Amino acid sequence: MAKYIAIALILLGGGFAMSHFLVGYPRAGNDYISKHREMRKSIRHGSGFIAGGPRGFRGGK
Amino acid sequence: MGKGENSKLKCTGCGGDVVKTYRTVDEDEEAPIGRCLSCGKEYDQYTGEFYRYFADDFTQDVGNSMFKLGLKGILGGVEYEIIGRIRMQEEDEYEKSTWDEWLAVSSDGVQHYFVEEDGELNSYEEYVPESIDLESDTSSIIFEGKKINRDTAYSGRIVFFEGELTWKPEIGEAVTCYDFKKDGRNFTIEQTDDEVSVTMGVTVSYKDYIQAFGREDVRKSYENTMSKRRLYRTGSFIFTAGAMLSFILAIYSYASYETVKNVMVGKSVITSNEPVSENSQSSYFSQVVYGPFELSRKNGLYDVDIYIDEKVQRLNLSWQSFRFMLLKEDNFKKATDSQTGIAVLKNLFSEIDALKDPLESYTMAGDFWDEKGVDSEGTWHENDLRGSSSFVIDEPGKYYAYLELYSEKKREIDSVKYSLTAAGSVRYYLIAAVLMIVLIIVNITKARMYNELPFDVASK
Repeated sequence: MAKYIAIALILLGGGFAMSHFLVGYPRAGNDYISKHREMRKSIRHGSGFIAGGPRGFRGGK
Repeated sequence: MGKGENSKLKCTGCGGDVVKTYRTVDEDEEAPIGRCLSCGKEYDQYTGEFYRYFADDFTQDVGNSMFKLGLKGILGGVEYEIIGRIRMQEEDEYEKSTWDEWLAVSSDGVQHYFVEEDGELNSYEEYVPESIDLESDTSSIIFEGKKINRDTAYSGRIVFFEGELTWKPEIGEAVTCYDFKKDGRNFTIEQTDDEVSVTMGVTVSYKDYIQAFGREDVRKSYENTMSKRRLYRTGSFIFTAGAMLSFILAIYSYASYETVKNVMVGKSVITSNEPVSENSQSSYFSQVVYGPFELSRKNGLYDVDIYIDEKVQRLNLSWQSFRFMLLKEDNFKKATDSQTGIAVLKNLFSEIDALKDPLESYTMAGDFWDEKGVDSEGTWHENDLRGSSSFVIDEPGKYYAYLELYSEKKREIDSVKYSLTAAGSVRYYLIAAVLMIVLIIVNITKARMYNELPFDVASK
């Protein structure tokens, strides 16, 4: 029975922890800015990304 | 011992060889039948010959029983000895659906029937009714004043017998049975061409009978089986509680959803339907800034939903792509020196992707489309008028939203709207609940199926 209680607690605790810490969701704000700052350092100026930004496929990209 | 033997598969009509074959009874089901190779006569489950030919199909597990001939046991202080047995097959079922009637005689000379079916055990004894009328009513029989509808009858066919029985049975012999309750007691009437027998019985616990008749190893296997089944049931209860708790937490989390108000105020149109051409494709370009509005939750989860408001303008067989950016007020004002002129904004957003430090705190892009066509099933009309995303914002405060739009045709800027919702994370509670539901099903199945015994025992 202890095994079942342990599994249930792991699933419940895991669900609670991942919900509480919002695991798996994209981070906006400073995390986003830091990540994209690094990305931009590695992208050559004049490339399509810099010139036009990320448009959808129907936007002519 | 009465068993059909393959060497005797001869047609009762012409003496030709009978072989086993199948008859299609439903679109995808086939019922076994016997067919004479000479005259083509068929024998299905409603004929006695079928069971004489194919009795083996219903008797392969005759050894898997708690009882056997000659077995003795003491129940309620009375000693019983198993002296005979018949196995019946339900006539309406062409797949195996059997029950065993074990005849026992007690030390005081009374006959008992122990009936095993689907892991349940019933004990029957002969009963002499005060009155029974089987003939005067064509739709029912009358048993001690109680009407029993003939429609409730089912037929069994004898497929196996052994030991000392009170009559000489034949393989394939039909018995019409009525099972019913009267005054809280179970009765069975079994009717053949020659005789009618009435028995009264009770469902009994396998445990009592295994203790009375079973060998030590059978008793041990029974205890192990029941112990394991109890454990699996306990597991299913624990996971049921866990799944319910997960659902409650998911509902609680969902209850924290709150729409951010006034996100589309402070509209500044920078560009409206400006013709652009790129890679020989022409389109119309629009830019608009909304805000500021308040996002108040620190490290809060937000859902952004961007959609075409067809009340303003239908997309009408065209496309439109969008880019949505969330801009923190402080960064935005710093970048514009707190100026709000259209020229300043236009200049800023024309360079926004080239800025060394990203101005935006979050971005998402997508497309809306509306199409129709013709295929083999006729005309179709499909569209996608909505895009959504979730993100976690680390700093609460005031924000602006920037929308960049490309469209195939000129479009009203106001036809593209967005909403922001402060959300709670529900997905992981639901995943935990679903996993626990799977574990509940697994444990319930094991609680029913686990068996160390060579015969079926129901979980009672």
